[in-house]
Amino acid sequence: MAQTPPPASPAPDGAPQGAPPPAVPFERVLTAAMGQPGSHELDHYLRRGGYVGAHKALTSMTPEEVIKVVTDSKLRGRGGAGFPAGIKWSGTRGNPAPRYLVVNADESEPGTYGNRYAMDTDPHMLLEGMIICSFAVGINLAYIYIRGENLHGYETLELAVRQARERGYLGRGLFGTDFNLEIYVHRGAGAYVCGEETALMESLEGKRAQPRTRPPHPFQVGGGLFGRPTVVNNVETLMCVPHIIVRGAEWFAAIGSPNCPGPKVYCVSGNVNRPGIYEAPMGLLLSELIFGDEYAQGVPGGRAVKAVSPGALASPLISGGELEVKLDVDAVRAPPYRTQLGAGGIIVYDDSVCMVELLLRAEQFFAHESCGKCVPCREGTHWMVDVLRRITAGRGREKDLDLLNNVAGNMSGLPFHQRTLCALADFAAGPMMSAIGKFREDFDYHIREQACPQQRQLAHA
Amino acid sequence: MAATAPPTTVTLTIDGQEVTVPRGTLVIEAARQIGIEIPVFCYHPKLSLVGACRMCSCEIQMPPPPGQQPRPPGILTACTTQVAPGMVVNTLGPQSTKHREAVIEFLLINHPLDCPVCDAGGECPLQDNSHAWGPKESRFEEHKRLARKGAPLSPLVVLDQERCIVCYRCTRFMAEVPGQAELDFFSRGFSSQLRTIDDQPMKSHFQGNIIDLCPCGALTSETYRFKARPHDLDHADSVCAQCPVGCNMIIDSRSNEVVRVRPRQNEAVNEIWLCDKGRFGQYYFSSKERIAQPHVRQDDQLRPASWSEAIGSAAVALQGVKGRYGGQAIGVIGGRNLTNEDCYALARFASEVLETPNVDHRTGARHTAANPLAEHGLDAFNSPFVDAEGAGAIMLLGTDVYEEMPVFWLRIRKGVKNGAKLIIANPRATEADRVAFHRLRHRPGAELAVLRGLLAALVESPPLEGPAAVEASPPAALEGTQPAQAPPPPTRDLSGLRDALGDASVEGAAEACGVTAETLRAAAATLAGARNPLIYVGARLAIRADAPGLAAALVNLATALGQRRAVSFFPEGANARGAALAGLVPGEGGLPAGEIIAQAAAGKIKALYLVGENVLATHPDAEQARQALANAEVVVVHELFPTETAALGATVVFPATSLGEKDGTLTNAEGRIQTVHYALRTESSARPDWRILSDLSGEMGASLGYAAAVEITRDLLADVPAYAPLADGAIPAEGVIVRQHGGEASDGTGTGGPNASWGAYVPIPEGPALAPPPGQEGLTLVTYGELLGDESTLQDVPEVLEMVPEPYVEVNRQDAARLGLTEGRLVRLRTARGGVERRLRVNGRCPVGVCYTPDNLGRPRVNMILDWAQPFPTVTLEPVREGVAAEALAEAGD
Amino acid sequence: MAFVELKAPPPPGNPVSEAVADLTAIAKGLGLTLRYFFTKPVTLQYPEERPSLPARHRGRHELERHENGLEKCVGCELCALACPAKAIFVQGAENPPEAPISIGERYAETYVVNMIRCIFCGFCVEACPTEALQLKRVFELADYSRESMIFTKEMLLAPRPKREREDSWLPG
Repeated sequence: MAQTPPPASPAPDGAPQGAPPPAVPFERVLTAAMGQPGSHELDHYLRRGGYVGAHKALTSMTPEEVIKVVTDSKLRGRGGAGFPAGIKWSGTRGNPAPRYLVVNADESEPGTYGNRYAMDTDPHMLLEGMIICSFAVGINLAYIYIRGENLHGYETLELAVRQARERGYLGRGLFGTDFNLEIYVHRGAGAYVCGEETALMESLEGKRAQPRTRPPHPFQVGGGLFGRPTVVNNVETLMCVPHIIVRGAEWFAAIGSPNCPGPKVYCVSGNVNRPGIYEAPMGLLLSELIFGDEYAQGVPGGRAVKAVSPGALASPLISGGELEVKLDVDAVRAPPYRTQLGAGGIIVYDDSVCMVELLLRAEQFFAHESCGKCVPCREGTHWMVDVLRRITAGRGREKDLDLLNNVAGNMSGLPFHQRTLCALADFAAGPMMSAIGKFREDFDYHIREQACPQQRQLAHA
Repeated sequence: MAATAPPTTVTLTIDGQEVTVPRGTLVIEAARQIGIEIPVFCYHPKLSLVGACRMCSCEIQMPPPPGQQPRPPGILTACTTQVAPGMVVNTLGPQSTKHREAVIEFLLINHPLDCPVCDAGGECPLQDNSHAWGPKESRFEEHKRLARKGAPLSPLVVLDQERCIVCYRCTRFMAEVPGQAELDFFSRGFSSQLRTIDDQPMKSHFQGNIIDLCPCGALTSETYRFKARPHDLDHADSVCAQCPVGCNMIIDSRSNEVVRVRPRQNEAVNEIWLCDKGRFGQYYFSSKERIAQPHVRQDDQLRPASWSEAIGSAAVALQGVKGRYGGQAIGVIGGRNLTNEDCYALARFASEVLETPNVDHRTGARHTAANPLAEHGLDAFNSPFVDAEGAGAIMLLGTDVYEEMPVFWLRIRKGVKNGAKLIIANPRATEADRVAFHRLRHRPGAELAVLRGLLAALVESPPLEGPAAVEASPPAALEGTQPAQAPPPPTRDLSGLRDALGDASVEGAAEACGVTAETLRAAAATLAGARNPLIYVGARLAIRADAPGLAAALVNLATALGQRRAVSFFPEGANARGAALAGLVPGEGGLPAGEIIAQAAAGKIKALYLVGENVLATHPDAEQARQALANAEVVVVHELFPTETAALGATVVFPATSLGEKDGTLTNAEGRIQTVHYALRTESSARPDWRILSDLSGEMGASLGYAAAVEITRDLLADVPAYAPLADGAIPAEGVIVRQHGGEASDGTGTGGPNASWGAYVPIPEGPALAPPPGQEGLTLVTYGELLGDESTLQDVPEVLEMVPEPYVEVNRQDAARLGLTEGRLVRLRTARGGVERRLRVNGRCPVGVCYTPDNLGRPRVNMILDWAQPFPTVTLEPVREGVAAEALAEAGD
Repeated sequence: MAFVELKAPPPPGNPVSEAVADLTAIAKGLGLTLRYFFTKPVTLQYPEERPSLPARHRGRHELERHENGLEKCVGCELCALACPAKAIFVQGAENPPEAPISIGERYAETYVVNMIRCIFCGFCVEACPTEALQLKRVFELADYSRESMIFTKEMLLAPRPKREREDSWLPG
């Protein structure tokens, strides 16, 4: 089963050049170096004011103060769950050492590629964030778990770690303090489920990548890496940290949505005129992101938007009529959208896309990537693929839609049910249920006419 | 973890019933306590938690945080959720039953539903749970997954991947319990497949247990495959007699034939495990090879005879020897694999009828003290098996416990998981080495020097008094296990030890045993710093000539560690402990078993009475045994199988019944007496050993007068002091541990036991020099027992025979390179006595200058080339050309 | 027991009408006899005449075969489990893949029905998951020895189909 090809990558100069929205003066910080040659070098980063935050934190602040600043900034995890970073850090710090930091750079969701560009262009910003986090939590050993296919990112990070170590930003006695930190970069072996933090840690420990039972949670003894309390953060979360330390919690908290502030890197792909990476305040309107001049600039040929996956392939679909949604963690979760922001990979489908074909492609991906530990996910994803394949082959039946909806419902644990250990089953079930709910006519047409409602099949994009 | 928190209890509500359980209990266990069974597939109390099957999901409502609205109940897995105060669990709520229905539907979409064909049908959790919780019909109309069917994972275990529900019980068992991760799932998700590493057959001795654990019939037993259905079977509660652990088992038979053996839960002995010899090695009960009727020798030929004739001729012959030479000229060997009843009858027969003191159950024994620790007021085995779980350090001396007492190894491993430091003193690397903390690789036969070294190291830096000696914090995993006995106040005055030790120094001992002084000191420090240290000694050491010296040194070591009861000897046979208690030990002026054979060969012993002892194969000098049989005027043999001893030397052969056909009791290594129930009717004319002895004694005019095994049990319990607490005849199902010595003293300073010096250091007698002087041509040969040896009990089951290794000899890489030999070559081991052929194994496990070969594998046995006078002979290895016709060899020789 | 009230015999009636009534009764009775005299006799002149059995008569067991000649029985022993008279003994064995006997992994190595014990209840047929076992309309099972009443698998198996269908969908 082929994995969905990664979305077309924008050219380096495809990064937005335009001024931030006039209402709020917004300065790009996470993608500031994008398009500048040599930005991954340490010297380049230092010229841009690199490692100032780490220096400030280590030399003039206590770990508690650092955690307080991060807590006050209301920084929430950028990986999808949106857990407040400060609370995670202080929780881990409360548990006995040794503790570990693991950076989740296993960005393998179809439709997300923000971390990849961030690590390619500014690896030192990530390292600086890791230094600050490790200092705050009391960690001396940190790992970056990078997706195995991302060889370039791995090499860039290795180079950055080597440069940082040579300059004394890593190793023993950082910035003249007695704080030690070592960072290792670890390549995954190509499993989507490694993006789940406990499966990632299992993989890092050299075991089969399968999610663990919780509790104990990763921040607790017995739940983290090698059984020790562990902070698992997304790349983008940690990259925000140096800026919070330098500019202060108030600056950060004032950007974008009050409950979930800060800059956010959105990756737009699919049927848009200008796909690419756009840094914008958290809480940007989805319609603005798709149609805005400094963003994706609308749909080719002026076609209508049929659906949007706001959190890449795994999120329940938003229909074309619901584009006035603020893109922050809480707003997309609320009714009537009931979807997820994920890591900010926005896929736009215009009205030439058949939802049945789309779902088949998506479910094939999830069936292939299901680790197989929990029964509902292992069997359910495959069942859905079988039924969808039958429908697209013109052998669908009226009752198949109820069956698909019911199977997806039996897999989906949201909001209170732990039907599976991790969210992969929900990822597979969410798009299915939302598609049947919002685009039932596509399925009906397939079953009734035994043909695809669209002339052209879903393109390889 | 919760190690520091005081143990508290939690009260929660399950299905409307309030229950109070210790903090940290899982919801599923709490429910079980009040009799609510939650269906499971992946959960198993003996294994780690995975939460994979989701079958146990219940509606669980957490108490809301203070000041907040309660959240609606969620579906959580009862097997991974720990109890919390105020938690409300509804195991039968509509959401959870709907979820379980969905799980069953998911599980069954790719399960073949071939229950009528499947061996598990009728005793299958998946079948039962599908009936109880599953949907009425499946909505799945696609094609089912196809996968490997009938694929052997080893000669014993067969996998049907289509049936597998991926619960990870088998992989967890192999990785966690014996620590041999030979199995894992390959590929992921829907296409997960159970495979062995590199697709090599499994080699573990514990693989049969995964068949029991499998909840769906994916793993089946090759020997039981399609033989029967659960409802056909007759069950008998029995005890395994393949090794001294005494695992409890259930013998399932159909039409009076053993079809399979299952473990019977006894948490004190085998928990729920069996080794593969115990599980697959009981088919000999219904073997076709068994001797069916008595035989007597006539014109140097054995011929079938009637019972009355055989008993008559045996009685006349024995009476004749007794009359001519006196009882002293009769030797009796046997009992280590018999029931206590047989042993007691044999002991009485020897002392009352034959009137001989030459009685022993320990084949090849060189000294008379059946329990070398007895003179120090200790039993041979001084701690219950379960104590190994709570030990701080465990020392294994001269034993490959994985081969010798496999299921006890699981207990030791549990102790190691709980934090015990394992110290292994063995010339050769064993399975246990993989989790060892210290490995003392000493020269063969230099165990006494190792012990001297450890003692000298202790004298050098005596262990600290008081609580400092106890490890700072007991590992958290200890919580919940059976609380170990409170450590006794340590005796740390080592001046007595210094006197007992004489001028021995660590360096001197290191020189003598070949272990560095550093290692000896480190091991001694580990022992000294551990709470509840335990020392286990291999059975082969107990019968060696230097056993009294070893025993004295061990007692000194244990006393120095403040735990005199720490030392235990493994017994030399399944019921050796019971045989010793029943009195099958050399009497006043009697000879040990090895000497009986030696004296018979020398013509001083005129009659041999061998009960289940094939001395030609087990006596460590086959030539001597052959002479003994030839020179003895009368040889009476009780046997199951036509052995070479019976064929070559027996005057009379009595067919005996096997363990599966008799009632009785067995006493395992720790001294636990357990009851055996017969599983099969005897179809031939074979009789139980006690009955033969009783009949024969009647013929000889001094009848033992037993008509039923239970009469002997009654006499045994009343007569043997150790069994006195059981004199009312009631033995509970889980057995009772009996003590022979010092039953009243429970601490290291007590003065119990028959010896007044209990608790004092004792002088260490110098043993005879065992190892050959170094520098000789050739390699020192060491023999040991392989678990799957003694093929006579395995011979009817080709699947098990496949697991039995080809007779081999193990040589170090350096020696092999020096001799120009390579792995897999057939070599001839040659001594002055002759040669035997063995397959060469070249590895780093075996020390340089030494070769190891099992003495219970292959025909002829290696004892063909052994000499009773030389415990560690020197052998030369010469390659044997294979595939060449005998004539060609002969020509080449000319 | 309830009391029976003793009643006086009915008073004598008209003798003529009584005689008519008696004669009528006799005629009625003889008429019935006469009618049966002309109907087909119920008694069967067995064994010269053969009985006609109901369609679902439960007689001798037969083990059926698939169209490709393989046995339908997979040796699951459910018939033996269902049998209230313990008349059936089945011993399964592994089906040799190179020369299969049944279509499953398992086949009945031994299949024995003790016809003395059998009560022809048909539970075995109902229990059979592969429809391998049928009770045929053969009822003449008498014999002279107990041994000969033990029907072995060879006796019970249906004959091989005359032309085995190669194109059968069944494996094997």
